[in-house]
Parts: sequence; C-alpha cells; structure tokens
Amino acid sequence: MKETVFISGLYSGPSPSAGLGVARSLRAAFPSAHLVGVDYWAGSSGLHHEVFDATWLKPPWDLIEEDLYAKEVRAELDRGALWIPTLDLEVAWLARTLATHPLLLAPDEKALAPSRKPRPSVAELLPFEIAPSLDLSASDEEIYAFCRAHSWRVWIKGPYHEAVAVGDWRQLEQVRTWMREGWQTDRLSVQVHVRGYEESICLAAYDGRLCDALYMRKRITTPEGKTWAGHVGELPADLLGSIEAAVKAIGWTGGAEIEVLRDVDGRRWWLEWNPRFPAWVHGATLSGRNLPAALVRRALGLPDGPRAFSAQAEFTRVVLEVPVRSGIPLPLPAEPEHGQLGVHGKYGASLSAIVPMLVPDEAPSAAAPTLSPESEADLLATAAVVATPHRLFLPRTAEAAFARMPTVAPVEGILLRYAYSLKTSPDAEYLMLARKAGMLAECISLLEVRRALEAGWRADEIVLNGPGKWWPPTERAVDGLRVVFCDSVEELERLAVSGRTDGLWGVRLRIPGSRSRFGVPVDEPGDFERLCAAVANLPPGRDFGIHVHMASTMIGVGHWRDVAESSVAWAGAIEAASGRRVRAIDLGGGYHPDDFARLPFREIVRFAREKLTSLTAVYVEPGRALTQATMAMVTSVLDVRRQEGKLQEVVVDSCIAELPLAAVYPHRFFHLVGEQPVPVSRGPVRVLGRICMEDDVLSQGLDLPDTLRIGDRLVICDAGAYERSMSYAFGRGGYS
Amino acid sequence: MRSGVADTPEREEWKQAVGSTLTHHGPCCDRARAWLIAMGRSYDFSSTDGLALAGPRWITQRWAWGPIRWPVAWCEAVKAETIDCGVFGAFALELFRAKGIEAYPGQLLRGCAEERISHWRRKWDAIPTAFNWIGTRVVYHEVSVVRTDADQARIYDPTEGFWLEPGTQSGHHGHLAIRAEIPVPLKWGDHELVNGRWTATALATAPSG
Repeated sequence: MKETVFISGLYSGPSPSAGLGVARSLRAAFPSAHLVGVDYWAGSSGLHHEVFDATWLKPPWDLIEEDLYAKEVRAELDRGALWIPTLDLEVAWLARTLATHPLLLAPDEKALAPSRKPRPSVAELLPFEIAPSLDLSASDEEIYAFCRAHSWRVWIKGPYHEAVAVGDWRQLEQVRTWMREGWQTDRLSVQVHVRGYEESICLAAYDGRLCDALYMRKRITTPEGKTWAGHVGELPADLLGSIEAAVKAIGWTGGAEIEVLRDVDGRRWWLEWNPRFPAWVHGATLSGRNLPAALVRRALGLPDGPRAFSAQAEFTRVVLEVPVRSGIPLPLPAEPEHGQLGVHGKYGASLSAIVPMLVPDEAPSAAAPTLSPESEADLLATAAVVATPHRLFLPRTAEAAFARMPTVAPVEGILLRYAYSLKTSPDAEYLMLARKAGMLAECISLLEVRRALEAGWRADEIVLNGPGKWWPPTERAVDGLRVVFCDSVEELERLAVSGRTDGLWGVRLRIPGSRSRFGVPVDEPGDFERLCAAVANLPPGRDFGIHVHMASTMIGVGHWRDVAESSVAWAGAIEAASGRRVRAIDLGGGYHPDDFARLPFREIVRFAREKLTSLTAVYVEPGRALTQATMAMVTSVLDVRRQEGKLQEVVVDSCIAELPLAAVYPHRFFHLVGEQPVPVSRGPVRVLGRICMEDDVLSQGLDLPDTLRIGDRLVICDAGAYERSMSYAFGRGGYS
Repeated sequence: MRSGVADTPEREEWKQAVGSTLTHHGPCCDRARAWLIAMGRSYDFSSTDGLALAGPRWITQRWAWGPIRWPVAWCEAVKAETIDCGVFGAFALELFRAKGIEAYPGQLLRGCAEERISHWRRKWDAIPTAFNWIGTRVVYHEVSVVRTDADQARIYDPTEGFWLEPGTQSGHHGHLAIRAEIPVPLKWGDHELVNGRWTATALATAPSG
C-alpha cells in the first residue's frame, strides 16, 4: 500500500493523543505508506518522530481559519488520501464540517450523536451498568441532593472529555466555574464514582461493520489516570455480539475506545465512548492485533490482516528522546512566572476553541428553585420587612418541619428517640416546637443545659455531648442528666469517679476512616484496649452507650449509613472486650432537611438490635434538618455592576457575617417583584456581600434580570440553623 | 495440569504446609479479634460502594510486609509493625468471614527473580523462628480462597491487596501452583481446586529448585 494517510493528534506528553500510536501501527503493517502527521502545536513531540514521512503543523484552533482548513482536508481526501483523526473535538468538528467521505476514517454526525455525553444512547445497546449521572443544568438543590445521595463520590465531567472528582459543594462550585470557563459551555454533568478496575474496549469499524475489537485491562496508570501499561486480550464472548450490534446500529466508522470499570463483584460499568483510537493502540499492535491497519484495509477494500495474538499479551510504555525535526523548532519557553519552575508540557493546540464551533450560543437554562406550600405562604411576609438585611422566621415552614419528623415504631422494644440539638438554633420558637414534638434536648455546654431547663425540659430529658460540655465552670453542673457522652477516655475516667447520678454514660467514637477531631480514637489496638479498660471500670449498675456523629450533609447518605453501622460494630467489640453491655447508641445529627425523612433509621435500629442484645434506645439529634429551611434573609441591592451593558455583579446588604455558610451548601434565591418572590435560577451574575472580605460572595452566579436596580430586594432561603446560630456582627461599627 | 513444580515443592515443609493460624491467649486475643473485625467494618464502605466482594485493602496499607516470629498470637499480631503473608492471610480470612463471605486458606507457589531472593533471605535470617518461605527461584505465599458460587472461587492476595488472575504470565511473581483448604472442589478460571492438593496453574518450565 502506498497511499497517503493523514494522522492528527500528535501530542505525546503525559496524557498523550493517539496519533503516534496509530502511525506506528500503520507503519508496521504498511512499510511503504506515506504517513503525514498533523498537529496544531509545535510542542507536540510526536511531530518529530521518524515514523512520519511529512508533517502538517496547522495553527492552534483559536487561530485556525475554519473554512480554509475544511477545504484543505477535503482536497486531500478527494486526492485519495486517508484521514484518521485522534482528537475528540477534532473528530466532532470534522463530523460537523465535512460531509461523509469514504476516506475520512471517522464517525459522521449521525454516528457520533448517540455516543455523546452525558447520556449516550449507544450505552443502552451494550450490556453494561450505567453509573447514575445528572446534567448540571439541574437546579442546585437537585445537584446537591444527587451528591449527598451518592456520598460525594462524584465526578464533574466536561462535554467531550475531562473529569474532576469533587468532595463537597465548595469544590463542586469551583470546578463547575472553572470547567464552564474552560469549555465555554454549560454542557457539564456530574457522575457517580464507580469503584472498579479500569478496562477498555478498542474497536475499529467501517460503515457500521466491525473490523476488529479487543479488550485491554490497565495494569499501571499515570498520576493523571492514563494508561501506562496494560494487558491485551480477546473481547469477552458475552460482549462481541453486542459491540457488533451497537456499531451497526449507529453506523460507526473509525476507531473507538469504550472505557469501562469492572467492579470487584464482576459488573462492568459504562464510563465513556471515545470517538477515536486510544493512545495505547500500538500496545495492542505489539501483541499481534493491529486495529488501525484493520481499519485502513477495510476502507481500501484490502483483505483482512492477521488477527492472532502473540505470546506476549502485555505492553508498557517507556520515555524516549528523539531529535527534533528540522524545520519545526520547539516553541521557546515563556518568561518565568511565580508558579512552578520549568515549561509546562500542557498541550497548546487550544482545542477548547472548537467547542463554540460545535455548540451554538446557548442561554443557561438551569432549573429554578422551588418552595414548599408552607414556605410560599411564609414568604409573603417579606413584603412587610422594613429594614434590611433582615432574617425572617418562617413559622408555617417550621411547624411543618417538626410535624414531619419521621415516626419510627419501636423495634423489639427499642425506641428511636429524637433529641433537639440546641446549638443549631436555640431560639425560643424552636425550643417550644421541639418540646411540643416530644423531643429530648441535646446540649453541648452547661449554658445550653441551663437554657433547656428554662425551656421546660427536665434533667432526665437532656443528652449532654461535646468536648467542652462542662463549660463554663461558673455554671452549675446539673446532675441526673439522661445521658452524658464523653469525648475522651480521660473524661470518662473522671466521670467514673465523679459521684454523678446520670442515667447513662458513654463515649463518642472517632470512627476509623472518617476524618474527625472528635471522640475517642480506636484505630490502634492500644487505644481500644485503654478505652475498654475504662469502660470496664465504670461503676456497676451504670448504663453505658456509644455516640457517633458524622453529618450526612457532609459525608452523604450511603457513607453515613456505613458510619452508623460501623458504630454498632464498635459497640459490639467494646461490649465483648469490656464485659459492659451497650444500652444506647446515639447517631448524632447534621442531616439535610430533605434527607432526614429518607434515612433508614428503622433498618439501623433493627441492625443494632441484632448485634447488641441489651440495647434499649437509639438517639438521633436533628437540628439542621428541622430548622435550616425555616428562616430566610431579606436583603437589598446596594450596587449593580455591568460589563458591556450586561449585568455582571451585584452587591447586597447582607454578607457572610449573616450567612457564614453561604459557600458550604446551595441556597435558594428569589427576587421580590412587587410582593411576589420570583425564583432565580443559576446564571452569570455574581452576588457579592457588603463587607470587605474577599470570600464574601453569596452566590457564584444567578440569572438575575438585566432590569435589576439598586434598592431591589432578594430573598435568600435556607438561612436558618447554623446560618443563624453561627452568624456574627462584622462591619457594623460595634452596633449590632 | 500437574507439573513438576506442583508435585515437588522446593521444600518438604511447603508440601505439608496448611494456612497459618494465630494462637489465642485468651481475653487479650478476644479483644484483638474484636478490634480487627470492627476496623474491617469501618473500612468496608459496603453501603457507600455497594460491593459484596470488596477485599480488606486496608490491612495491606496498615501493616508492612516482612518477617515475624512464629508462633504469633492475635494480640501480638495486631500490634506488630510488620507481618508476613501468613498473618495477612489469617487477618483476611477473619475479615471475609466476619462479613459473611465464605473464605478459606490457600497457598501459592510463585516465581521470584533470583536477584531478589538474596535480600529476602537476609531479612528472614534475622528472625530465626520466622517461616522459611524462600526457595531458589520459587517462593511460598499465603492467600485467601473466596468462594463466589457453588463451584467457583476467586483468589485474594491480602499481602499485596489484589485479586489474582487465574491466567498468568510466567516468570517473576507469576503463580505456578495453588493449594486450597476447601470443603468442596472449586474452579478458579480453568483451574480445578481440590482440598489439600497442589494444582499447577502455569505451564511454564518448572524450576528445578
């Protein structure tokens, strides 16, 4: 074969493109072929490899003349050259820009569409599990709920490639903003992390017919997660038929890589369909299966080549130096800045500039926040607010929240008792509602104990927790409390000789694997033995219990259940090792209002009952779940800032002093129009607080109307709980 | 599928070896086992990840691999800085079984690059009562045989924290033969595991020892 083959995508750094591997494979099969390497950055080291007979160094994509380039590519194809693109975005551009051509060995638009993120329909044709995902056009509340439901083991994914793991809302906001700016599109998604081995299917197909396919298991990956070494083998028999059917159904032409994860239970999970050969494709060629050559043979109507695997099924990469090709000197290093030393090897082809060519200008269309009927009625009171910022109590919302507390019938005599967390919201309205709901009181200081007693709770209805629970020393250390949970072995030892008459003493555990500064560590056998000895030395007849607290809001619902069940396992271990029966488990608080009713308390009580035969009570300490949505901040616009006539930033008269957790979780925003709160979706306008702190940003972006004026009012919901109790006076000249 | 390697393990004691067991002093060892199992539950993430067969990866990260004096009691093993594959195997069995997974002791014969062996020998010579697992080009290793179905098994290597693949490349670190202490015959890939019998797993040239 003496045809010319253009192969694009020659970046060969730590996250390489496939062009060089494709070229080496073609050279192995077709020694006389004329191989032309194409790239868009002089620093792409594949340009300098001897495998190429010639090179095309085109401008980066932010400078390329799109029409001219399309004509140039078409002219080469019409002259009889083949073209194999290996850059995802370039593949999409070719599909959009050129009509189907028999020598363009890449998918057309019709084939490409079913493979696009975030929900490629081709995935449904294949026998893989599909990891849950969500478009980031969903409302922030929905995105936040998705992340909590999946224990914050999630990835933010770009529209064509790129995925970044995020572990909390703040990180999600940062990555979303960064990706949106980088890709110049809102077409992002969030996908659940799957714990599995990284494996790939590499295939070549022409006009909907499979030329060849194989299976690769990654053995070593780079820190960026890219293949460094792998094992190549036949496609498992259960996959071949469905791959053939999928390729036929979408009419695929070109190379492709289907990335999958295989979990330890043996299930294969769909990750993505890359519309080109993988960068490791020459590793498969070395093992005897040359897929780029199979594709070219099929396109040229040549007979299929050999398909037998060699004895060596594994490949690995090495780093090699090559001389720079004359005529393409390396780019000079930029003047050093204050960051890392040296020239970064980042690909300089400006590929993201292709995205606007593919995706027309689109207005962000995030879903708007919603209100419960109670909150809707409560927010009518915003019209009567005179001075701002003003935190408004929402009485109907609060009553509904306390009334909706899940009732859990006793499991074999074990009661689930709710203890209201005073620290979350110690205001009288909440204490009254908690008392009315029959809750116990959970306190973390003697001042809170005094407050609980004043609100009407008896001492034997109070649960005392926390590392500084006996503070302040001037306060009376009320005896006869229902439960006291110690935060250290030392505290338990002091309690044992205190002569107090509380109903139950226990310890808070620092569950291994969960980062916390609280409680007794048990991840060393010596610490565990010391704890068991202290428990064994408690006075006879004193009931003993275990406390854990990992906020489900922070760690997510699945992981919260793991922590809860883990606490039961530790309680069993302590019981066995100390001889002291565990009578109570306290699961703490920190539940999101929307999760609270859905948490599997009954299953956990049942699980605890099975493991701890002397258990009599399980305590739960809601505070945030009951109060977060029960306050709203009414705030006025102080300044309206525009760029090129478009609203860009507004400054409001509330700030992070009133909303200290503004960046920690999403808040629902409303614009008061007349007396009506109009929901505000996510959008381009930043909302800045009034104080001189760099992090005083109340929203990273809202879809506020261009007509917004100074004096207009916004309502920020979800301003109760810690937003209320942790707020502070700042920038008020000492006046509160 | 039997080979010279399987029939003639390099050392007589390997031929007869069974899965290592830790001795049990009494309450101190009860505490140690209870601690290990509770640690296992804390690191299991079974609700978070929804996986039934996740191996106890955390033990690989927590303890260093190296020689230990035998016999070893539970209370000593959990406090040791360094443990050998026998202790890793005993820990893994305890942890698999605590979460209801049927697991059994298994032993491997594995290829080893000769240039490594002198280093292992020096390390193990320093502890006279340590188990002598080192041959010339073959070494002895303990693993967990996990029953996944009525007649299927998978093999977990708790020392290295990975599931072994039944098909293997010959040479350094490749497995040559396996012996399982199992109640019924099980299949591991194409290999038939029978209680107490060494089964060759690679058709590589058998080291002569």
